[in-house]
Order: sequence, then C-alpha cells, then structure tokens
Amino acid sequence: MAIGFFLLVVLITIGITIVAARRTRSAADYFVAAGSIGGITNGFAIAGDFMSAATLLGISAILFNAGYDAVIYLGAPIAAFGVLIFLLTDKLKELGRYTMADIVCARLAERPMRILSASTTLAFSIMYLMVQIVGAGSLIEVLFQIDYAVAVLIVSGLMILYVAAGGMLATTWVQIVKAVMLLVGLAVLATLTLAHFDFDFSTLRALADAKHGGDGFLARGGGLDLSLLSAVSLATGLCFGLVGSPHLIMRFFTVPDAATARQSAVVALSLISFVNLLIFFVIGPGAVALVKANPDYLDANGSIAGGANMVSIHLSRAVGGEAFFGIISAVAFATILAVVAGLALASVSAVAHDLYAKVFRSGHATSAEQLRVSRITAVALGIVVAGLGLLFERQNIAYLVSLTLAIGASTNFPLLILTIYWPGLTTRGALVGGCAGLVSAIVLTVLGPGVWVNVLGHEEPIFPEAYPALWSVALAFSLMICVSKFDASTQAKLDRAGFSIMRSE
Amino acid sequence: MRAKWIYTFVVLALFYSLVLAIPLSPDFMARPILGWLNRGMFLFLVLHIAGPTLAFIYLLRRRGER
Repeated sequence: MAIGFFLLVVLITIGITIVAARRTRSAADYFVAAGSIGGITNGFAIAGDFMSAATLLGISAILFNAGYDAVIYLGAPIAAFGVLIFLLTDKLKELGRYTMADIVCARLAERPMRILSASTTLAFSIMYLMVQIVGAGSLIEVLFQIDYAVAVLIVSGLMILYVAAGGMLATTWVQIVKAVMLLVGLAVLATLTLAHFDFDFSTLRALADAKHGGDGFLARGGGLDLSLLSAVSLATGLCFGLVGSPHLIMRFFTVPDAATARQSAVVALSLISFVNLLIFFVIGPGAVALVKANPDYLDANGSIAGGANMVSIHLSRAVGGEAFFGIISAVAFATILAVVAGLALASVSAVAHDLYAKVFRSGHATSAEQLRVSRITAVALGIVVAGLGLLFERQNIAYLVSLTLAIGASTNFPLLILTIYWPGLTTRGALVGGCAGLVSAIVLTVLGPGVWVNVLGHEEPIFPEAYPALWSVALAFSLMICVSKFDASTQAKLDRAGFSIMRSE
Repeated sequence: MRAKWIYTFVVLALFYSLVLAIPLSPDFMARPILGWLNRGMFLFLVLHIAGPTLAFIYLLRRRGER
C-alpha cells in the first residue's frame, strides 16, 4: 500500500511540473514565479521548504533518544523566523530580485560580493542536498523496499525535472502540496495517538516517562549531555543558520511586495509552531510510549527497525494500521522532494543569475540565456548530487548538518544583518569576514569530534566542540566590523554612502 | 520602528532561556507547575505562542502604518 501512495505523490508532483513548465517563459518566471505568489500560499511554501525530513523524522528521533533536549532543535526555527520577520523580511523583498546577493550588492561592490554570495550559497546547498539525498536513499529503501541506488536516482531525477522544467512555480506548488500533506498527516497522527490514550495527556506522559528510562530525560534537560558552550553554539548555528538559508531567503522574492512577504513569513511561523507543538507534546512522547521496547518495531539486534529516524513512521503503524503507515511514508517522501527542489533552485539561481548573468556576462545576459544556463545547471547539479549520494552510501555524514547551518550562520547571516543595519560595512570588511566565516566553519567542523574522531578515526579532536557556529559567527562579525572600521579605500566611501538605500523605512 | 527590536529581543530571550536552562538549571526547569507540565515545557509552550502572536501583532502594526 505504501508504494501506491509513493506513486501517487510522484504523479501529482509531475503533473504540477508539467503545468508550471507551460507557464514559465522568462527568467523572472523561472527564478521567482514573476513575484506572483500570494501571502498565504507563499507561507505554506516557506513552511514546506523549511520542514525537511529532519523535522518529521529526525527531531522525533532526538526526542525518542535524548528527550527534552530536542527543544533546542524545535525552538530554533521559531526564534529564526522571529528574526526574519521583525528584522529582515521587508528589506529582503524591497532589495532582492532573484538571489540574496541582490540585497548585498545594493550597497556593496557587485562583482566580489556576487562571487562570495554564490560560493556560500553553493557550499550550503550542495552539502544540505547531500544530507537530504543520502537520507532519502536510506529512508525510501526502508519505507518502500526500493534499492538505495534506485532511490537516489529517483529523487535526483525528480529534482532535476521540477527545477529544470518548472522552476520556482513548480517548486512552490510541490512545497505547498508537501506542507498540506505534512500538516494533515501529523495532525491525524497526533489525534490517533491521543485517541489511543482516550485523549488523556496524563496517561500518555506517564507511560512515555516510564518507558523512556529512569533518568527522566524525557521531561528534563541533559539527554544530549551538552556543555553550556555546546548548547549555545548548537542553538546559534540552528537559529542563525536558518536565517541565512539561501533557499528560504529566495522564497521572499516570489511575492509582489514587502507586506505580502511579512504575511507569508507569519503564516509559515504559525504552521511551524503548530507542527512543533504536535511533535513535542504528542508525537514524540507517543512514539516513546508505543514504539520503545515494543518487539513489533525492533530488529534482530533489539534496535529500532530501520533506525531511530523511523520512530514516527512506526508510531503511524501502531495507531493507524497499514493504510495510515503508507500515507505517512508518502508524506516523508514528499517532504524530501520539496526540500531538495528548494535547495536545488537556490543553487541554480546562484550559478545562472549571480555567476553567469552578473559576473561573467556583466549583466548583459538575456532572459532566454539565463533560462538555458539555469536548466543546464539543474541537470548538472542533479548528476553531481546523485553521484555524491551514491558515493556516500551508508557513510556517517551527520556532521554535514551542523556544518551547513554553521555556514549559513557565519556568512549569510552577518552579511545580511550588517548590510541592512550598519552604515559602516564596506566591501573589504564583508569579503574578509564572509570568507573567514566560511573557512572557519569548515575547518572547525573538520577538526571537531564529528569528523576528526568519528570519521577520520583519531582519538582526540583538535577542536573540542562538535558545533562550531558560536565561534565562526563571532569571528565573521568581528572581522566584518574591524576590517570595515580600518578600511579607508575609495570603494569604502562609496559603500558607506550607499547605506542611504537602507534608510527607506 | 523600535518595536521590531523589542519583539526580536523577546523571542530570542525566550529561546536562549530555554537553551541555557538545559546545562545550567535542568532540575529547576523540571519542576512541575501543572500536572505533568513542567517549567521547561511551559517555557517551550510560551515561545511557540509568543512567536506567532508577536509576529501577528507586528503584521497588524505595519499594516496600520501604511
């Protein structure tokens, strides 16, 4: 039955892409759906773009294993959307056209900033795509009994189709379909879970607390064994990495004006809050109560069948039977499709708009040329990502998640905040700080326990923290400010004068 | 508009309170306040209500300005 729902999702999304492809004629259509998406529609699409398989499966798994500490993962997007709505959304829409670089280049030198911005967008998107593709291969293999390699090729192929043929319009509607499926699916899952306990929260919590173990970590902090610095660094990376996510930022360019952009962000925040509350108060504890130590969901080794990421899927079978299990599996698949489409489109925009049209062609590329380059890039990106997905099969790439978010937090976030709010920022300061943020995020991750110990097999990490964001964000901000302060170049005077464009509020 | 900085501060303060309490005061946050609901869970609930509520208020204020 699960495979039937899987095919239904594929058919619906291909249908959407065919319709969208017929309506995509110009670069504006392709990159931002000609700014024609409504506020509520875009809000659903933003929620669909943000809520990856990590939200549905990963955070339930963290709650299942570590308990209460999952609040860091769940709370971060709420704080991030707060920052986006209150501080950034207006300027993102007013100054952005196709990519994040448009905002930075409104007051800083175009060529170097486009190259920096495209580099960080590509680094962020390709690493995040790898995480999604490798996760998708394993997940689809378990859910639908499809071979890992075939699963990777299916997801990559569909991603190429959505992005190359349908552009932003197809991606938006795939994300909306996914968001609706996810919201309805999780609401039904939570209701069925509560129904299992006669809608008595106390019984659910009591059983979950008892099953989670004597340490009490389902209700109190400490399950992830985080030090103060680790907790703050993880939270900083998750929160500000999300603010600096290029695939989310470009969603604000798809609406007609700043008021609609704000409205869409508020809709997205409300939807994400709703899903978080369901996961934290019902689905997570429900999985602990009904799946933990239940022989129906254990493999021969006594571990959760398919891994801890499967606990919410197992919960769907426990409370809803085979048909509901098929539906939730299809929701998980749709979730992956929507996120990879958004990430791929951000990469394609960075290459076709920032690098090709603005840097290599100095702004003289026609709409048709940008469209052609975009489609070639989408196909090339799909092939590269599928190759990486096959290469990294069964490998531990969990470190890429914290690295990706650290890159977003250490480059795009300080760049956006200082561009919009600090008159003193100069091109030189932005370049030095942005490059330092990017390099330090990568180097500290490699030297940390996630790669140095777990992947490379050394006994002790050179850098003791698993989450580098606190350090790399601080370094990026410090260098951007210090280098800008001492920058006396002619370009610096132009950059400071250019701040007047930010005073339109 | 000063309100946007206040709203941002409130949301970030709630989030970082939740985060800092994990290593600093897990026992304090684990004390029940209403049945199974403890202080930590309550703070989590407040963050998830305050975030969208402040965002909605901000939306209305900005609409009123125009």
